[in-house]
Amino acid sequence: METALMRGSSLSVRCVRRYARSGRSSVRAQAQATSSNKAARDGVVERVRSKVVLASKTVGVQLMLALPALAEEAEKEPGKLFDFDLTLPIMAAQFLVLMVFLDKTWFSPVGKVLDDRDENLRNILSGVQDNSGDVQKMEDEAAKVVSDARTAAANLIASEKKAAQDAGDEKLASLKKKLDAQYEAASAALVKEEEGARKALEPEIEKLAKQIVEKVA
Amino acid sequence: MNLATIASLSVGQHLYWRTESVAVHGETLITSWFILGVLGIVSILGNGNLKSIPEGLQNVTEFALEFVRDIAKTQIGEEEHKEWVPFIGTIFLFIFVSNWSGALLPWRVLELPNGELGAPTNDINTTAALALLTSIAYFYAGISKKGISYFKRYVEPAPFLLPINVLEDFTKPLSLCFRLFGNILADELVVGVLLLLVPLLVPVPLMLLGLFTSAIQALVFATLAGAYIGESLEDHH
Repeated sequence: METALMRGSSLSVRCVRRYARSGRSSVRAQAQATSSNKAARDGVVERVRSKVVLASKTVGVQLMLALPALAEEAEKEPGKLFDFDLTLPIMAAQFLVLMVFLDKTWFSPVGKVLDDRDENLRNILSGVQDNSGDVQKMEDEAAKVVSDARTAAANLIASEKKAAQDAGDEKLASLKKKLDAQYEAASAALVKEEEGARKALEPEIEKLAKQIVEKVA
Repeated sequence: MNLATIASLSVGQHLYWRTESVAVHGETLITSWFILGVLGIVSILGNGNLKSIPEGLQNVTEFALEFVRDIAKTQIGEEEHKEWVPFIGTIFLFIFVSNWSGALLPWRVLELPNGELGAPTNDINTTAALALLTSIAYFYAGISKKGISYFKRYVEPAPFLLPINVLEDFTKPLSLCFRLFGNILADELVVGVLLLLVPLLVPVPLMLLGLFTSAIQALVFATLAGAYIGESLEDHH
């Protein structure tokens, strides 16, 4: 790869040189041409200019004005392609400043955001990957909750039943006691009445017995 | 303004800013300040309010960073690429924005006393500065990791290769420098010449090719810088 790149670069260097040489030589040639007969050139330029104005009016192609521009070019100093000067260290310094600035405002903070997001996603992903255990745990929990609820309900039912039974029994017992007492009282009253009646009837019976005896006798 | 000045062609002309002893290329510095400004503004606007779910310009800055990280990771390796991301990233972004500004923006509309505005990368000073910084970077990477034993690689795999290995340290920055310079200058010249000859439609395919070349050159420079750094970081056995 390296050799290919080097070959490419040397090729491009050669191309650049050729461009430079051809550019320079043409510029030089024109410079010579113009200096030799300046007056004639001015005339030519005038004529070309008038023609060009006509052309641009009729066709609208302005850019044929490039011809006078080339003539102006010839009067400039010859160009220097490989002109090293203080621009080089200034560019290097500017680059270093830019690097520090971009590191502070771009590469570090944005890099941190990217890393944080990466880690966040990785955590979420790993959490999802072993959620079969979670599901098992949740199912167990659900079963436990259901069975707990079932026992609690059964207990509640049993205790309520017992309470109701007790309350009923108590009521029954008190009712029975009351009835018993009433019965007692009623039967006592009956016995008393019977006694009373019997006592009341005694003289009558004696009288009747006396009468019977008298009659029989 | 004369439309022809857009189509005029100047080779190696510079706008010199001189003091008594030194001169600098004004047009290169002006456009480089523009590039610095653009990158700074994009960085501040895009990364001023970072969110975990990106919006707007943050998508662009994140994509650029991921792209650069990818280059660094493939060239330098998983463990050591992180600290070289700023260098490689800045190289890529600076060259890319420079090249595309030269290819897309009508710089030549702004007239200068001498020379013409264009991509900063069509000045050899810029590309030489970047290439030299790359050389310094890979020397720094190797020496800071291995110390003096970094220089063992000059006699590997065999001592008689020493001259070639030493030569490589010169060819690397030279090739980086001239590759970028030549490509960008050649592209601007081709487009300029075609604009001179046929100002309508015909240069458009070459302009598109120029856009493509510009992007590729930024990628190539960043990739090679990463490769050189990775080469001097890798362990020899």
